Amino acid sequence: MAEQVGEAARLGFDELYRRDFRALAALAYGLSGSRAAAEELAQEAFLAAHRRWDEISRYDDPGAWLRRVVVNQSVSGVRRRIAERRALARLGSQRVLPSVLPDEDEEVWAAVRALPQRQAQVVALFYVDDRSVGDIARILECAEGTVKAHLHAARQALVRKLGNELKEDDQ
Amino acid sequence: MNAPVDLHTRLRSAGKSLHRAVEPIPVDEPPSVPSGGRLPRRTLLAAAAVVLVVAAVVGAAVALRADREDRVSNDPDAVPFLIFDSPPKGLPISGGVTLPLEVEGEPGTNLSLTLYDVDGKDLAVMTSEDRATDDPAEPEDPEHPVTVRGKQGAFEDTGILGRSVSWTEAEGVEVAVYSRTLTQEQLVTTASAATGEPTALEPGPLAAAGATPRKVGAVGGLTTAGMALPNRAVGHVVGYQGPEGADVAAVATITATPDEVAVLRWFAGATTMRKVRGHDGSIGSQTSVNQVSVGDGDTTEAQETTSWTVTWEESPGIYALVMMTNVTEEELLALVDDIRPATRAERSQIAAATLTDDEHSGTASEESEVSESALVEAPEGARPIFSGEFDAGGTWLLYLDHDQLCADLNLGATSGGSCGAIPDAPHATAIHAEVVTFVYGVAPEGTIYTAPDGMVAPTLVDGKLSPLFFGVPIEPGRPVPSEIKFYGGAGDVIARMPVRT
Repeated sequence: MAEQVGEAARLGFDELYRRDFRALAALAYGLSGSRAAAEELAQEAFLAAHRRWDEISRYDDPGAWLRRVVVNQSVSGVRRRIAERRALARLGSQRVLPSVLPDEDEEVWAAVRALPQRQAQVVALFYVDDRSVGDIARILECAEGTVKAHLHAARQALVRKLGNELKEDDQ
Repeated sequence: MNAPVDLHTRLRSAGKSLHRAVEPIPVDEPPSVPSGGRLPRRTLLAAAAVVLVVAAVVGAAVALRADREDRVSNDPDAVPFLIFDSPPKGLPISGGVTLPLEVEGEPGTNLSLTLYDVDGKDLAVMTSEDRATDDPAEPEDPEHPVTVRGKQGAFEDTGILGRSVSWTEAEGVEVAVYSRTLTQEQLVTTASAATGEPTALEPGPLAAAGATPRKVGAVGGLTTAGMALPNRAVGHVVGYQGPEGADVAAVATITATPDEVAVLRWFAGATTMRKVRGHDGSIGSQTSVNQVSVGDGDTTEAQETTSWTVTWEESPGIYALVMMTNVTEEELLALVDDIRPATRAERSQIAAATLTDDEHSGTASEESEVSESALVEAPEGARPIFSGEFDAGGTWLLYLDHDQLCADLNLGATSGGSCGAIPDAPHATAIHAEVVTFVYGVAPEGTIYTAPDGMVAPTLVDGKLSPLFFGVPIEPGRPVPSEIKFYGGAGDVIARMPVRT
């Protein structure tokens, strides 16, 4: 059987890192609430990819695998705290890094993080990573209908929480 | 500027903010991946200190297997299991652990702390010995570099333990000197004049003709169970924690030597001696300062959290330590007056409300290694019931999220989960992720164990025992059962329940 050559194999690990690292960090930031933890979580995902590079490099969409790892780990409270502690330790400080988001955006992501985990992941992938419902379904390994249901429920909850109106035609 | 009215616009705008926030992260060089694929070790000592100081109160405890001849007892049942008579400020119990917990294998890092008196001022030497390193520490660029013993070190003045100077003394050995009273120059002086083996440095005098620091106490190994404790202590810790972890409290009763207690008192800032419950004790507070964003997010302001700690010798060789945040000295002492031993039923309830010890354990050094077992945690606001790891890797978790019974599987790159109303009658549900399955639900009253083998226990809901929940992890290669058998105390099958998927 011919060996499948995936996108990652064409890009190489370094190029994939340069292309996707910040996007993964942004995803992790929204879901974890900590910029310091986000950087560590993104790095962990790439280190995990590096450990399995022979396998990952054959995937058609290694970015989906990386995103799956990041969104799963970012919603883990323990993982988030460990990542943040490691980041703080690396800075040689016990200070808590301040948020760098404007208050109104911090409010949005705090509301997203208060959603059930799957809904929060779907919202982050849709609005931060600009992924389609189909993409998100592949990343989270679930049906598109499930993604739509999570997205709908999340939007309804966020409307109640944030007080913004919802235009359903913007999909 | 007013927020966009439309939700989609607002979410997309908030998403762009995240991208702007991570733009400064350099991506020119991919991370160097050490052999074995582990994250590079960076300043183990700093990591350990941070972990000790900011430790969560929820039973994240580890004590190492060790026996000491000078202990009053190695039997936790011989140590009182003390709790607040009623939850302080309504804080619910978040968990409890019995010390020591057994940890398989050799721990990677030992963290020791020795306390000195030097010219009437405090001085502590913390040593982190990495016994299992195969990844050298990475050099860093400290914000306040200093030269110590011919090596580059770092000065910090923001820590809860006071000012510090830290450096790498030898491969795998990081040392820091702390003081709440000495200056940066004095710390560098005493560190530079230190003598002895890298793992047992004795600090030098503050001046050429000055007195040698006098040893006050030492703890050969530190762990954290809501507060810094000797990792060989025997006893109990009960944690209390409010929403978001804003308010926490802990009650610990442990065996310890006066040497060790001196260090613990200094660590907690509880250095004012006084009578507590009629026993010799001490009390004190420490304040941590966090920078929080205000206004447009570009500016920050300091936010202080003060925690009070009181310690006393409950009986010869057995010490109690009580810590609580956002409380006054008088309030804490009043709470301590009402501390009492937990009843057997209360101990059972606390155990049921706690993640199993093995699954929740993690030493400071293991934190930096990110033990997979530490990844089992319920969402914020949820109450964990059981959790564990599959032999083949990955974790399972059963928890209560408000009025719903939920189960999660996490295999790293794959996860699965399900939530539903708490059944009012016995039932069994299965969820799957890749090749693993988890069966869970409500067991019939009187159930002691299940087949296939799993876990059965109630938990606390609003202070009352819940129905009997059960969870059965099914490893890859094992058949997914069509039914669960529930066994009673006499070993008889009291019910069979079909598994719904």
